[in-house]
Amino acid sequence: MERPLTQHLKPDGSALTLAEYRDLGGYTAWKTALDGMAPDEVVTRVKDANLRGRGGAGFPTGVKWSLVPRGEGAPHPKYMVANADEMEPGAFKDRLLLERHPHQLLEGLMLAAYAIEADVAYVFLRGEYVDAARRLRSAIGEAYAAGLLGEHILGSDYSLQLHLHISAGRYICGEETALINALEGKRATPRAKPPFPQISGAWGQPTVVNNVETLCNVPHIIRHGSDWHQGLGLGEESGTKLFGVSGRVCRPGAWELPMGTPIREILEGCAGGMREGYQLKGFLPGGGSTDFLLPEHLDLPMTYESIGKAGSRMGTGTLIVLDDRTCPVGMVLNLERFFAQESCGWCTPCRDGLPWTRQLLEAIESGQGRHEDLDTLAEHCRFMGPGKTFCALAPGAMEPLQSALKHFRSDFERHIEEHSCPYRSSLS
Amino acid sequence: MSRILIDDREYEVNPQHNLLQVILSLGLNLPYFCWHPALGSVGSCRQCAVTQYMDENDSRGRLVVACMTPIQDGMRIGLDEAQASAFRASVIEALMTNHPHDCPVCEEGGECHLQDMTEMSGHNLRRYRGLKRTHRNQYLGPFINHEMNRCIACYRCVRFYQDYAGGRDLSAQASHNHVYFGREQDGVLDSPFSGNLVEVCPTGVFTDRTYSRHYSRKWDLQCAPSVCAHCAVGCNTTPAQRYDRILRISNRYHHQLNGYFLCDRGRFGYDYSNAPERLRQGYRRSAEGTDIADASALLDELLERIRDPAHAVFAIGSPRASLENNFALSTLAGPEHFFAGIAAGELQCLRRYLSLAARRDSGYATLRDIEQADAALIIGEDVAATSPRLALSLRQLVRNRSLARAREQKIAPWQDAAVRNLGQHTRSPLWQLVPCGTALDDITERLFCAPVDEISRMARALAHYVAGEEAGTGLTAAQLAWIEDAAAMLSQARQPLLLAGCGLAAPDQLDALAELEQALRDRGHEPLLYVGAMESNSVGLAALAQQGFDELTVALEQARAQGKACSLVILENNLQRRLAPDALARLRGLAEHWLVLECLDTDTVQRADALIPVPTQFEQQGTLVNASGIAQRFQAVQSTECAPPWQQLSRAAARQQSSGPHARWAQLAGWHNSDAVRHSLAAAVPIFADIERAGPGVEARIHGAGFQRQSARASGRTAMHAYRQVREFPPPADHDSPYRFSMEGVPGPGAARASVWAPGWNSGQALNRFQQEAGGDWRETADLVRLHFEALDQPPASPLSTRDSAQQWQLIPCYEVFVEELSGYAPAVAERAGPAVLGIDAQSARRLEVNSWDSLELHYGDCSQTLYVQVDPSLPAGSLAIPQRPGFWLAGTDPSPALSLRPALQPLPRPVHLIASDKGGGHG
Repeated sequence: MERPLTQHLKPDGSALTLAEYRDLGGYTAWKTALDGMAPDEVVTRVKDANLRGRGGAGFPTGVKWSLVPRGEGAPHPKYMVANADEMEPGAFKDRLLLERHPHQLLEGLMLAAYAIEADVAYVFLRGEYVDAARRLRSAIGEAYAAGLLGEHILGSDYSLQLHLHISAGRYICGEETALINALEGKRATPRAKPPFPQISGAWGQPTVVNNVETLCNVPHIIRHGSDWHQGLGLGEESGTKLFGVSGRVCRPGAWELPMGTPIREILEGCAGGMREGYQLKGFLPGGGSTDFLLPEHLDLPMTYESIGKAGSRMGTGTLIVLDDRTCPVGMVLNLERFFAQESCGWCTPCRDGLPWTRQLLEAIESGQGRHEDLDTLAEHCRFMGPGKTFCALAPGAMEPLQSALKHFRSDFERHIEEHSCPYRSSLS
Repeated sequence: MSRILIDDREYEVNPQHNLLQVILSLGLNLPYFCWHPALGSVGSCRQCAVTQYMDENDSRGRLVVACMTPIQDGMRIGLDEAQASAFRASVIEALMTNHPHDCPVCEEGGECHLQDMTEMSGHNLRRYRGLKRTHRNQYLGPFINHEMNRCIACYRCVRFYQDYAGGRDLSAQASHNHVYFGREQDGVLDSPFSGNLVEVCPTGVFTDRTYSRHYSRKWDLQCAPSVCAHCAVGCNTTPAQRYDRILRISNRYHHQLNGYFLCDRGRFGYDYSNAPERLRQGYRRSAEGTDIADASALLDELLERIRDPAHAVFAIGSPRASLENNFALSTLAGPEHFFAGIAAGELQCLRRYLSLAARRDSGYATLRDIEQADAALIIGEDVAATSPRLALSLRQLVRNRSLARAREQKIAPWQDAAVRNLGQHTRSPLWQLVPCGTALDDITERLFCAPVDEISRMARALAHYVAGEEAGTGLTAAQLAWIEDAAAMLSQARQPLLLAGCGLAAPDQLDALAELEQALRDRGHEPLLYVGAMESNSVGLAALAQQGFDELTVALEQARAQGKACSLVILENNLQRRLAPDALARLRGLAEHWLVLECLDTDTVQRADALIPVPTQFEQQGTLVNASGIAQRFQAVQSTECAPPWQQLSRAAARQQSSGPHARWAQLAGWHNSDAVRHSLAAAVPIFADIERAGPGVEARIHGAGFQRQSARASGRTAMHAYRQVREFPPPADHDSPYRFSMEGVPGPGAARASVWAPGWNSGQALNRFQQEAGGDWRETADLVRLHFEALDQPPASPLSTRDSAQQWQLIPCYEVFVEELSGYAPAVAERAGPAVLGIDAQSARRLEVNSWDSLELHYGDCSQTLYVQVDPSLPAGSLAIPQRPGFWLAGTDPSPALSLRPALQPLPRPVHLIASDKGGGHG
């Protein structure tokens, strides 16, 4: 089984240096592109590889790039941004790639910048990722020193400046237009689309924002070709994916597996199944903003399609496991607290709806809930559903709640009827 | 036009607008918060959601936010559709989770957009059981109260303050439902447009602090259409009064001028009308003392003096009094004895204003014209200080290039955030050729600071260069480079704006402006022209009076040489602001008797031998001419026993047994209302031929009914006066206007209505019910009444006063937004004026060894004043920027001022920026 993204990670946890990365064939894709590939060819190869965005939405990367005006007469400067603001609850996959393999990301970012003929590239990094910041900074220094960045790179006509931007830290910065606002030094609120960032992004110029993991795939696609990448996945989807598991499993962690790997293989094979004394009650397949799935879904392959059909989203591909001794109301409350806190405050349903949701869940969890609260919560799920809010934050926040109301309704009802949390009393 | 279906009815709509604007324009109800016709759409509040159907077979539809939805021909919309209505009610319910239930004690109550929209959405029952989030309020200065708990986070305040008005000290802070709109710390809001927050805020977060001190509910206010008295822009206002006090001013929409916004001087300056300096009683002053005197007796004496061949009476008009009052005085004294009370330098500028207008057929630009221009060159004038509202329009002008870029990208102009993001580094060129930096520097592409005389020289050289001639000799390389670049900038523009003014009292700058305009026209361009004036009726007075102070002095000397006793009658004019101290003293010596007609106790009143009190602008009707050359009528807001000057003079003339030597007096005596005054004026002075149309006549009626000044819901008479008299008084009559001091009658026509209100729309945003389309002109719109400049005889260009080249200092008049005569009597505005500061260039500061906020003694004439120093690096070497406050040298008063600086014997204390806060109980 091929693991192009992670096979070379060093077991001691340190980052691959430039020399080590080069020994493994690093930056040959960059050289290949600069030596003889037109930007359009890079776009086409990535398009043909059917690489889809690994940040959660799964938008085809090549298509995203192809919407940027290129060639003569295209506006400049253009910007290429790596979205390293990993803040989805339960997700820690990008961190692995950032801390252990910074050059792989840089090469991917540089290739993407080349593909869209960008003049400046940024790594927009989550503020709490201090180790990643240190390692990225040193990697960027190495790349500049080796002439891989800067003016007329490797003797070509192409010049690229690459900067590390450390975010002040907000969940909303994962949303690409809010990220752009934050990068400009403005409030991190999302922008309306259209215009899309490919037309008017950072400082009003054409801009592409890609997730870290997405970009890490690019050098391998350029080196090994589209067909190779297509062949990595199982079934329809192409490539590999970093899957993670957290919760009361034997071995929480992250693994690179083919796209379409069945959930059971991830949960039982990689994570070693549930810890002793705990039963699987449900799980969030793609991070905190996805709908709960149940044990009956364990044999589904992890693809955008199949998880979508089951009523959830593959999202970031990082599973959060709910066991039978953890209160689902408490878990959802914890998530809604996070989302209410992280709402940027721009649109009404999210800004004022999420705190209300949180307040209702707090009431229920603490035994103060009323039966009609469940109707109000269900109403909120519609009020903050897709298409109602300015961006995807609140609809995402509603996903665990609406599925918990559906799958674990009796738990909510017991809280209300017993005026306390049944899980807490059983623990004591 | 496009056809769209709303709730299965077909409508024809403007495809350039967004769906919300279209729905409002059709007169349909749809609640909204974040959208504002002048600020565009950002889609944050989600309140205006409607259902959009794919096609006629689609029965479910999807929710769209109307303000962010462009019009497509044939689109099908559900406005009353259940899902959309429920969503809109939910949005209100969510907004209300934190909104206090303080409507009964909230100053916005009764004119609150949030109240209106809540009613409109149908939400009424509270379900949220949690705690409300609370905020700490800030002290924001004398104009604005802050009550953040009421905030519904529509972001309009910061979008107006930062994006539209260029302010920097109000921002959105924090996040989620703790978003806070305020300053980084307590303190006075810096922007001179902060008062608009009161109207922009859809609820009671930002309220009018001056109104709050004598608050009354909107429905109990008595209002009338008026025109701002505090500069020459001529913004339309709606003053409101109750119990014989003017309580506040709000914006009155004018499509061509102020639009939705006023400056703070205009909004908060009204308190001069309530000031303790108001004069209510006539008096006579002699060596023995001051005796109360009846105005009619004083006027009878005046008429006696005029008839007396041994006497010569000269009249001085007022640039802040109406045309009617000035014309009445001119009629009484005779045009040959009527003099414009305007400083010599400024009057020369106004003469050029008139002659320049006389040879143009397109007149001067309105603010709306200016907002459409795509380049601007400012010559000399600090418009941000002399005509603040104009600066706000210039801020919109510089956006036109980014709007053009947006058009190329097919981004609609109302997509506010998208346009601003796209064009954040793209501005239309605004260039300034001025003596020192101004408040517009942040949007200025090229700022060139030069001494006042150099500005004229460079502007003239530019005109020559544009005309294809040699720019001229004696110019520095930097000046030449600027001239070449400026010519290119102007030539590349579709429609450039040339802007100058009277502030520097430098008529040669206007001559250069005229040459430049002609040169551009000869090259096939059609530049817009704007020449700023100083006061609300400067242009009107200059067009009426043929002579100024120079001629007055000559006339006085001649009369005295003939052995006549000379006296002056002065209409609403503080001569201290027009004449240098020695010239003022000389005038006092030449004319032994001064009769002053005035509403406020000014320095001139202090020097007068007799005083006749007159009403303020809020207590009479009249006509003013603004700097765009547009005549506008203002109506009385409150009644008064005191007759306006024209009427006092007319009655005095009528009291004369015979008209005597003055046949004009018969005409004067025959004026029974101000319509008659204007009728005579239009007939006598051709330039004013159209002014009768500048407002409704006394006999105007709608369906036979007069116009109400009070709302139909006024509480009626109250016990307020019961301590004096329990009997109810009938409302005062107004024989000079179709407006009544009561709730009876109908609202006035179009813009001339006393206030806007429509069912379900109690806030000022009811305006959209009266516009042709939301954000457009009034539905019943009256043509602008422009002066007939072409009727003007070309007045001979008066000789230029030569400056004393041996002067030690280059003097630059320095104007301030909050230093203006009338508004200076309003405590809130006076508080914003701050201490007088002398600007000095860096080189001279080094030579004198002074730093900013040190103090110096300025000696001028008999006056010596200690004032703060501010080192201004933009000033040319050897320059002093002199604050234009009485007692200092004033522009245009003195051709060769002798002025000296000394170290202050008693230095002023370092200024402390006092900050009150609600923590320390200083708030409220």
